[in-house]
Amino acid sequence: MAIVDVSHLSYSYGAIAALRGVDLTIPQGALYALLGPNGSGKTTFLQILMGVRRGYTGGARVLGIESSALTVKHRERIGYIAEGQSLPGWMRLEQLEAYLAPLYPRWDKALARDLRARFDLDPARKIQTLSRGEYMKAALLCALAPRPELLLMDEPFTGMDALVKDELVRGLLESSGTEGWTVLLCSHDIGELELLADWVGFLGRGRMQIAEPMETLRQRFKQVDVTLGGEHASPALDPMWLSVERSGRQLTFLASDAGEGFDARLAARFPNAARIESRDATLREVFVALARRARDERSMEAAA
Amino acid sequence: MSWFAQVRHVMIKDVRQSWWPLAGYTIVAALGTLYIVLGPVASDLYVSAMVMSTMLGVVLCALLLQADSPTRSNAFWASRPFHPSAIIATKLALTAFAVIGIPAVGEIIGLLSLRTPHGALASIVGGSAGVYAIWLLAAILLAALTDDLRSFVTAAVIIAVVLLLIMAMLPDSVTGPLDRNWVSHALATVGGIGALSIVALVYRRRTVRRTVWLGGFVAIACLMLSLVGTGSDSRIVDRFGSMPVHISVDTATLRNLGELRLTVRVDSPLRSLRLRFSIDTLDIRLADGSRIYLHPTSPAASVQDPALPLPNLARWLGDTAALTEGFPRNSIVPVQLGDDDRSRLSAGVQAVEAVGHIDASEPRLVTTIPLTQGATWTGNGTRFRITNVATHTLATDVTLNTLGISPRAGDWSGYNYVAWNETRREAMMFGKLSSGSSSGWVLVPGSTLLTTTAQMQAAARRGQTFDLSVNDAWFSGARLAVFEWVPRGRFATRAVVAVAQH
Repeated sequence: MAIVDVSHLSYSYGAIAALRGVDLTIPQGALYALLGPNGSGKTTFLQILMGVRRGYTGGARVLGIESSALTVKHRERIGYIAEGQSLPGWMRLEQLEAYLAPLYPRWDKALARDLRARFDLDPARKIQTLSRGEYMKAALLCALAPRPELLLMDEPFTGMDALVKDELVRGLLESSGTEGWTVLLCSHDIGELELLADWVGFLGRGRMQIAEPMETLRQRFKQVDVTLGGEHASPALDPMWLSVERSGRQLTFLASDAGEGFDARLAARFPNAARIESRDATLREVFVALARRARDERSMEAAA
Repeated sequence: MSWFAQVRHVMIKDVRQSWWPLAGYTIVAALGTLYIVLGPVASDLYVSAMVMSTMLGVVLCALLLQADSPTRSNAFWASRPFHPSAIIATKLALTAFAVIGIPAVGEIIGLLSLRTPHGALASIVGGSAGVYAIWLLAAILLAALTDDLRSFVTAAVIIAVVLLLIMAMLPDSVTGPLDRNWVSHALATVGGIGALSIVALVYRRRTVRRTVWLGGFVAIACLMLSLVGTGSDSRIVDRFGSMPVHISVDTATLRNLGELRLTVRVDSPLRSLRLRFSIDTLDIRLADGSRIYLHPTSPAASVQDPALPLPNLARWLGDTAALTEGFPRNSIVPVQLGDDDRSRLSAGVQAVEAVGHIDASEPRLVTTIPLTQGATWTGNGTRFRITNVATHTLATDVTLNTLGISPRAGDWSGYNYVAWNETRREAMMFGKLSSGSSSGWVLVPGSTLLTTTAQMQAAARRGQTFDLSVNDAWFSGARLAVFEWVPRGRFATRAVVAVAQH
């Protein structure tokens, strides 16, 4: 069953299109990483799913209902954390917890206490006195303590140290497994996402460029290094190759159509190659390649 | 969590969040109350404090609403399971209970200390709370359309300037009807419903488009313009005829003085009434067929003054006796013309139509106070306090402080003061030597608290003749009698006078 089902979703800020016909389906229990360069529309996308931004076209169903029609009952089942989200700075953390707890039938005091201890947060401190990292931890606590069915997280690792990030990733993995939480997570911390996510989506220039399970992605994207033979001076480039770089006889690229029989196809493509090596691409390599392509397309559009 | 529980929950949060400005607001209201209870003292300070209090109330409203802003995309409440309608209800309830309620309680205490009759008290508090609610509703709407306090203040200033410019550009025929009560009630209703609808819409949609801003501006304009026409309680009780009014027009002074003179005389069958004539419009018809319309702002002219009804009075002393005897008389009302209008008069005047009204009021003895320093009387929403008495030969100077609800309280034209020796059955009018007054809101805008300090003198002199029977003993046995003028109605008058060509 799809917890999030988005089809042909578009949203504009005046004349600027932030999302253009986005399609995305998130199955229940998925840990979904949404990647994209700055300004690609990730935050807008999450805000629409949370129902805090309206006026979109297309469909954005969350928990089986259109996000613009989410009721209080639905919101009780969603946890939301955003980098720019404001918490009431005048409250102490314990006051914030006390303020939120009655709103959520499933608010877990023990979990809140546990998270507070794990994040090393002082309940008596005012929110406005917290550091950036502590602020995000407090926001995370508030998003996780209601034990949400769907967790929407926009840059949740901002300002966190490596240890806390690691603990958070572990916590999310555990909870996702045991509680059946569905998590949609936007972050620039690709290393953490690679550990965490079992689904990946890439949003570029307001369009969903890829949306597939991590496993498929790993099979599809291969980083290839080719040492060309002396007589093979200029091979024809394949449109499915990304981040193509050539230095002398050395050719490297990211193949986006790898799969069954990829090595054989490579060998046939470069029959005189002195050496051909291919390996699974890292998520970072995929991200950089797709982001670069999106940027190039934008430059070309602007030039046209 | 139920809807009502959410309202309570958010309200407690808001009070905790805004306790500091709320406390400051309460202190200002308490000081204002104390001023009315103990006053009159330091009236200028009071006026400033009450203006500040209202501004603070407006800002407090904006703060309360923007604590859970409908338009900020990162607003905390928006991503939590809150009913938007519960948030709106919380803000409106807090505005009613705290922002209006706190000063309203102070106002009630203050008015009770002035022994205001309960009916008048309810009317004053209800009226001022209504006016304040209009201010605050406009503030709530503007706060809903803006993200933070800075943009709220900026938008408020811009809207105020635009409204003033529009009002200045509109002709009198458009702005004139704003004075009428039914127009102001209609504007308040339209503006109020519009403001609440827009706030609800913004909380639901969470975006502010240009059309919403336009609607917001119109609603705020309606609310603000509805305040222009409040406060007029005079009624036309009779039209043309039951009280014959004779108006003649003298145009001889038109050319040399640029002034038109109306002579007014009323043959009133009711000699106990004070009659005051005011011109509403003047239509000068010129020989070339054109017309000059004027809305003169001349002060009302007295056309009949009745005797002040003191019991068992044998005679009036002093030079103010003429005022007290009551007689119909011709009153001359000058109307100044502008340079442009004067130049048009060269065409010659055919006729002048004057439309005006006569306010009728009746004298009533409010109280008598011993003519001694510190003597105080409180009642009927007003406090009189004699702060100084200095008796000279044949005269006494009295400094009197009054504090009460405008327009009658402390207004020189609203009261007459008499030195009255009941034993000798003699009295003399006090004449004003100097006076100063300040007015401010009675804690919340809508009703005006007027504080007046007047120095006045009663002298036993008629022309060059002194009444030697008036001495220290006379004044020591005298009391200060205070008369007020109770409105009895307003009579419309109209006259068309043909003018012979000069």
